[in-house]
Amino acid sequence: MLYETSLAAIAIFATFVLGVVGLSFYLGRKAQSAQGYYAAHGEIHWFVNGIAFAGDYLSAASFLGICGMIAFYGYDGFLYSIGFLAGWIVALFVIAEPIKKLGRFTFADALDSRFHSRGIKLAVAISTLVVSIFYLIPQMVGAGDLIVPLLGLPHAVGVILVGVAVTLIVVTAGMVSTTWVQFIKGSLLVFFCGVLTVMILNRGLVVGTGSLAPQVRTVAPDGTVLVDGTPQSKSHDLRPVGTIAALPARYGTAASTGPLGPWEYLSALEDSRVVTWAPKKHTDAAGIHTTYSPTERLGSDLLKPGGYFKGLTTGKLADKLDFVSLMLALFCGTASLPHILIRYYTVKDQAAARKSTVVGIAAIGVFYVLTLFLGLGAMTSGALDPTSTNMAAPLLAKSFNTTLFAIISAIAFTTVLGTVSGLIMAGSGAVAHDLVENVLRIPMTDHEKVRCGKIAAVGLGIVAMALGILFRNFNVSFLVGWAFNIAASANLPALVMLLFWPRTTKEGIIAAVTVGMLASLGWILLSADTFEKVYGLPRDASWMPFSQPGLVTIPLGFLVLVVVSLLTSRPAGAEAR
Amino acid sequence: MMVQLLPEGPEGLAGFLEAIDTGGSMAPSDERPPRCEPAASRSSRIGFGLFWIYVALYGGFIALVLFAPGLLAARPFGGVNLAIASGLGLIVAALVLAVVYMVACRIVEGAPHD
Repeated sequence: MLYETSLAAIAIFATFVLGVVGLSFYLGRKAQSAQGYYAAHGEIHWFVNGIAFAGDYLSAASFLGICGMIAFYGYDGFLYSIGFLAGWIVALFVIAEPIKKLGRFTFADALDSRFHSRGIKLAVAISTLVVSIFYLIPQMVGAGDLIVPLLGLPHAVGVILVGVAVTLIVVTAGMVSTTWVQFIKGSLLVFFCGVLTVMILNRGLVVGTGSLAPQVRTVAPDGTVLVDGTPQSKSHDLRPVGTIAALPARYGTAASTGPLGPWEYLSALEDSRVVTWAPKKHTDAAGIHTTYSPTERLGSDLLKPGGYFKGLTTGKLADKLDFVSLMLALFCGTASLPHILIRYYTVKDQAAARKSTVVGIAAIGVFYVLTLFLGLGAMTSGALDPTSTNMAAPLLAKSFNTTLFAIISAIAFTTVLGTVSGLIMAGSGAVAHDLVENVLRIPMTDHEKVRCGKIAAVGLGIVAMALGILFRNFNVSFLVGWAFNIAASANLPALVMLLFWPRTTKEGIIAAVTVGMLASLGWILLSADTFEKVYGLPRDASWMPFSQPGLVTIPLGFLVLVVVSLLTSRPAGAEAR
Repeated sequence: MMVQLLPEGPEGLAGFLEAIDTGGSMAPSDERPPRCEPAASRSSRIGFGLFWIYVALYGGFIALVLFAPGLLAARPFGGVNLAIASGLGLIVAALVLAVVYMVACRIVEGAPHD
């Protein structure tokens, strides 16, 4: 679809974003020293840190991706919410405190604490880089998807905008600013999603009007885009979709239910009939045609598992394994994300750390409940763009009013700014501290270390932008799910076994991290989805039976660690110091 | 990655305490083992117990989705089906368990600073 721009929307958006960036510059001026740059002085109050946890964690994926997935596929988007939040239990109860008791504060240092091995530092630094990059891709894709409906500009522009903005923030200000960016972002995100949810409940369910004829989008060989055979233009475009066909019988002939409470909303939706649209592609001499056809579905069918993981209802084994694999990867992934764990240590002590995690879980939990309603509201808003799941949430806001749309887009954009800053910090730290200083053993002064970090940050920013443009056709939660798969496969086995199995050896850790990362990365790059949407090859050419590697690669990581550790075990006391 | 850019810092207990205060790390060659406290291992056990409770809930949910999808479609809660209700339930359970953990650790550890 093509979008009208609104000067008012752009003005609100720009003010908001510049305000956040300006604030971060201001706070950043205080972070003079290298220690301040990276470690935020260890002075962050637990409540602030808790909300910053939420701001850090709730990336474009949660907001745009889950909403979009629920809007188009129903319940299965909610599975991501459930899985993402469950991962905090692993992080809080299994990983966080044992690591702190090791007396280590960085991910790589924790894994290396017993062995002081350059091999471990190398493996973990690379794994951190890979995970950070894979987590960056959905953020950049999300940024592009925010800019399109707001400015009417191409996807790539949004990607480049966020890349440049973040690189500026990170290079000039560093950790302190990212903590405050994330705190602000976390609070605003939850608050405005609350506002939007109230508006959705207030609107209730409304029967849709407008044509339900199938729509065809064609990309001709010369690149022009046609809609239903005629060139696409503002006056001849794809129609927005996502409507209610019929309300429950108890509402009689009314066109709308009026305001509903949250429980009533869910139950009324389950009894309604909803029009969903699914794409079908076929190619011929005239170009690549995508036909969007409407199907009327009962709400209660949409609100149970199986909308995306179709095998859950049809019994196809590959889909069932895919589902289990995803739930496992999400559960294990949070604790394995380097950029999440480090926030745990910016508070004073254990008690403060626990309190901040509780605050974080509460904020995130509330947010996921809200996104359920946002997704369902978008599903029935009549404002969805059939070509993009990621744009569901901003378009939902646009269907209420332009100001709210501008604010929500600005918040989502700062969401991306915050998450991307944190990731670039993690990645640039991996390069500057772990790779250059510890593995290559190049001595650097304090000043040089910071400069090295900044150069790394710029490099990462460029890579992220390029990949964000390449992966633009994916739902962002789906992409984040992949990052979780890699993180869980590469990092979790090593971390858990180091903490709880005394016979872990350094070769075991190196092997587990390397194999876990390469296996999951390889699987993803060879999966049917990547074949289809990135390389443009047919799905069937891929050998991978399903798209989420976790079910195979996480146990593989554990297995490799155990086997290699047993093979390289030394008598007690002879461990390399 | 939170990078520790302190120069090779003071070692021993003073260094450990300073490290906690400033959020920095200890010198990499520090030989002193982490402090062992009975309260700490009690907290760990509480954490583990709560963790397994959640694993049971989460695993139970996954099992329901795989093997009893019809059950999830049932709507015993005032018109809302079990699928939605259990999803919301898992979210609430995570928060409840986190609060229980925080309170239990505080009781077990006694003093506000550990």
